[in-house]
Amino acid sequence: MDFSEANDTFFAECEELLSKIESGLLVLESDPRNEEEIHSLFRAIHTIKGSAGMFGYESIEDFAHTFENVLQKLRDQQIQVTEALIDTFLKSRDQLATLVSLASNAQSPDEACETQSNQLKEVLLAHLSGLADAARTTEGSVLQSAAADADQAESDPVPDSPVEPGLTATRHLIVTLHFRTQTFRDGFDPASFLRYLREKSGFIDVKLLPATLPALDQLDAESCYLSLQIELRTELDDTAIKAIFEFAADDVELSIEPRDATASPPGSGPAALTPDPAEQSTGAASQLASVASTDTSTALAINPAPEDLDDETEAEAAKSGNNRNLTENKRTFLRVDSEKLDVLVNFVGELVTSSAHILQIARTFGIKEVIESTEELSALVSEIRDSALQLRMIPIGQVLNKFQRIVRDISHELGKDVELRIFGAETELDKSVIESLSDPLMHIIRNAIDHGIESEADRSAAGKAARGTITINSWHETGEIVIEVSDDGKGIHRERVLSKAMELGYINAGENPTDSEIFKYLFYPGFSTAGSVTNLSGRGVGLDVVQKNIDSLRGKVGIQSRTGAGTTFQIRLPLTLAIIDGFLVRVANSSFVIPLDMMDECIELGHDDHVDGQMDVMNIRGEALGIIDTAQLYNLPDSHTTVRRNIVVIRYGDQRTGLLVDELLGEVQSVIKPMGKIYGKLAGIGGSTILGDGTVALIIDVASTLELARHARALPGRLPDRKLVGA
Amino acid sequence: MEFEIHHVSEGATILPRGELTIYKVAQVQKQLIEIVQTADRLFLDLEGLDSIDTAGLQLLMSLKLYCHQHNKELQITNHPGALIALLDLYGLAGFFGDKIKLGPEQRQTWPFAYGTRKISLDEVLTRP
Repeated sequence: MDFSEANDTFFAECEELLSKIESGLLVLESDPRNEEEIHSLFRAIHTIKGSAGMFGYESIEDFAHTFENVLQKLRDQQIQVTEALIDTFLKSRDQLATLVSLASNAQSPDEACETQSNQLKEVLLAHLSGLADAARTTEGSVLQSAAADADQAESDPVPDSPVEPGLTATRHLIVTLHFRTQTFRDGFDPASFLRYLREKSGFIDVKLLPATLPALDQLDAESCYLSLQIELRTELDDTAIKAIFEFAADDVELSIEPRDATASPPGSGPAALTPDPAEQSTGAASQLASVASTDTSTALAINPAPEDLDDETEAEAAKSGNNRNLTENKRTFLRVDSEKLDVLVNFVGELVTSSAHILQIARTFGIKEVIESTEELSALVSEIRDSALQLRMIPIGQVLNKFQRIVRDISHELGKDVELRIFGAETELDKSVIESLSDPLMHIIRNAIDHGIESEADRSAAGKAARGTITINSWHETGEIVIEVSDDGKGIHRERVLSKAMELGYINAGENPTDSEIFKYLFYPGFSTAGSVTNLSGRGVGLDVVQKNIDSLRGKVGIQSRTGAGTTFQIRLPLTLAIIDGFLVRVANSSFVIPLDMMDECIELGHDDHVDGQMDVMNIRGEALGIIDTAQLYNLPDSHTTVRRNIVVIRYGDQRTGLLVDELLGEVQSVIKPMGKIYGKLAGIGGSTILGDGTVALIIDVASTLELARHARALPGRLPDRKLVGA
Repeated sequence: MEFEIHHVSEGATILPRGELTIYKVAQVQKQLIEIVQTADRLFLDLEGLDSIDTAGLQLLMSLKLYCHQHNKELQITNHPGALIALLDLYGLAGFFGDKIKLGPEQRQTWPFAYGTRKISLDEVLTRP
C-alpha cells in the first residue's frame, strides 16, 4: 500500500485541524461554557493523536495524548475553563504545530524542542490537579526557562503565601510513591509528576525502594517497576500533594508521612537505603502485594480502548441535539492542486481569445446563422470563464480570522484590552491577492494596537469604553474590493505628521495641505512620529512597505483619522481578473476597452451637440454630467466633428462621469495583458488586451483616469470619500 | 535502535543512536541482552541518544543491575541533557556511579542536590 499519499493527506488534515483548534480555543475563551466547542476540540486532538499514531509520529502522538487527556477532563467537567488554561492550550497547540511541521519536513524534534514539549506537558498536567493559580506560577517560571538562554539560572518558583488554601506551614515529609506496572502503558511518565512536585516543594532526597527492579533478562521493559521514597519540605497540604498525582491516580499509590526524628537522617549514605531493613522491606513487600491484588480490578478503570472512545464520542455527537456537524458535512470540499487550477485558468483564457476571434470573423462575413451560433458560443465561454475564475476566489475571512489570535496576543503583550470585529468575511477575492494582503494588514493592525488604541486608563479618562475595538470591514464595489481597518483609538496627530513631513522636506512651509494629503506622507520611507520605538512598530519601516505591497497589487491605500475618535485605513484593490468583460470604443485611431461593469450607459451625441473641447459639463435628463474628452486627455490627434461622437457614462463609487469617444464598437471579452515594466504606473491605463483581429487595445483604468482628468482640468465633483464605518 | 559497537582490548564500546523511550524499550532490551554477552567491560557512549524517558531510564538501570549480577562493568559516558535531567530528578547519579561532565550553567539547571552517594545495587535488585 502506498503510504506516501496518505502521509501528505495526514499533514494537510493536521494543518486544518490545528487551525480549527486555534479558532475554537478563542471562541471558548469568550464563551467558556460552550460545550459543543469543547467536544469539537477534543475530537480534533483525538483525531490528530490517532492519525499520528497510525503513521508512527510518536512525538506528535505523545504530546497530543497529554493534550487530549486534559481536554477529556474539561469535557467531563472536572476542570473549568480559565484564562490560564486557554493560554496553556494555545501554547500547546503551537507546540503541536511545530512538531507537525518538523515531521512534515522529515525532521525529528531537537533537544530544545523536546524540553519544550516536556515542560508544556507538565503545565498541562498541572491544570488537571485543579491548581489553576499554581499552574499560572509554574507556567511563568517553567515557560520562561524554556525561552531563557542556557546561561540564565532557572528561576525559583514564587513562594505561595501561606493564607492560600491547599497550603500549610512548611512541613518535613516522606512521600512514598509506588508506580504500578501499567503506568508507562497508560501513557504516563512518572518524571512529569516528580518534576512538578519538585517545583512546588524542596526535595531533600529521593531513594529507590529496595527490591524494586529486576535485571535486564528478567525485565518486562514496558512495565513500570519504580517505587520511590521522597523526603521533602513543603507548604502544600496532603490534599494538594495528592492532587498532583490525581490524574494518574489509578497508576500510583501514594502515602504521606511526617518525617519524624526517629527516622535516620538523610546524610547517612548507603545505610539510608535500609534504615530499618526489616520494617522497610516488609512494608514495601506488603505494599507491593496490595498493589498486585488491586491491579486487575483497577486495570479496567484505566483509559478505555480507542474503539470505545470513538463510540462514546459518536454517541455524544448524536445526543447533543445540535445539528451543526450535520449541516457542516453537507458542504463537501475537494482538495485541489493549485497548479492544476492555474493550468485550467490559462486554457480558459486561450478559449476566450479564440472564441472572440471567431465571433469577429463571423461578423465580418455577416452570415446570420453563423453569427448567432458564435454568439451562443461566446456566451457559454463567458460562463466557463466566470466559473473558472471563481475557483480561485476565496473568502477574505480565511485570512482575517487568523488576526483574532494575533490581536489577542499583541494586546496581552502590550497590556491593552482590544477586541477585533470582522465584517464582510464572506467577500471573495483571488487567492494570490489574499496571500499578498496578509503582511500589509498585519502591519496596519499592529500600528492600530500599538499607537492607535490608548491604554485602559487613558480611554476611561477620555470617556471611552475600556476595551478598544479594531474593526475590519470588507465589501465589493464596482470592479474593486475595499478593505477597511478602523480603530476607535486616539487618532493620528495631524500636527506632528505635518511637522515631520516638513522636517523631511516633503512639504514646504506656506503650503496648506488637506488631512488626507498630509497622512499620505506616513507611507513615505523613514517616516515615524512614534515617540518610542517598540518591538512592533515605530521604527519607520512599517507603512512604506505596506504601500509597496499594495502597489504591487495595483491597489491604493488611504488614511482617514479624527483626533480622539480613531483612524481608518482603507485599501482598494482592483478585481481585474485575468479576463475582462469590456466595451470597445474608438478614440481617434486608438482602441480602448472600458470595463463593462463600470459602465452605466452610452449616449449618442446629435449633430447639434458638437463638442468644441471647451464643454465639460452636460445636462443629461437634469443631471449635470462632467465630461472628459478622452482624445484630449491622452493627447490623441483630434478627430473631426463629421464623425458622430458618443459619450460613455462610467460610474465610480457614486460618481458618474462621461467619457467622450468617437465610435462605439460593442462588447468584447478578452484576456488582460499587464503593461510591461517599462510603462510603470501609466496613469489612466490598467493594462492592454489583444482583440480578435490582433490589434492591441488599451484598457481604461477608470479610477486613475478620473484622477488624471481632475488634475488636468477642474472636473466637477471629487473622488468619492467613503464614510467611516461606525462601530 | 542502531548500535555501533567497537571491540577494544579493554572491552566493548557501545554507541546507540536513536530514541530510548517507551516506544522503543522492548526492542532495545532484546538488542542489549545480546550485546551485553559480548564483553565483560562495557562502555556505553550515549552521545547519539536523541531522547529518553523514564521507561528508557528504567532500562538502563536494569542493564546496570544485570551487569552487577554477572560481574560485568558498565560505564556510561557522554550523557545527553535529557538523561542528566532524569538522573538529577530521580537522584540516580550514585546508582550508576558514572562521572557526569557538567558546565557551570548545567550545574545550575541540574544541581544534583541528592542521590550522589553510591548505593548498594544488591538491595535494589529483585530476584525472581
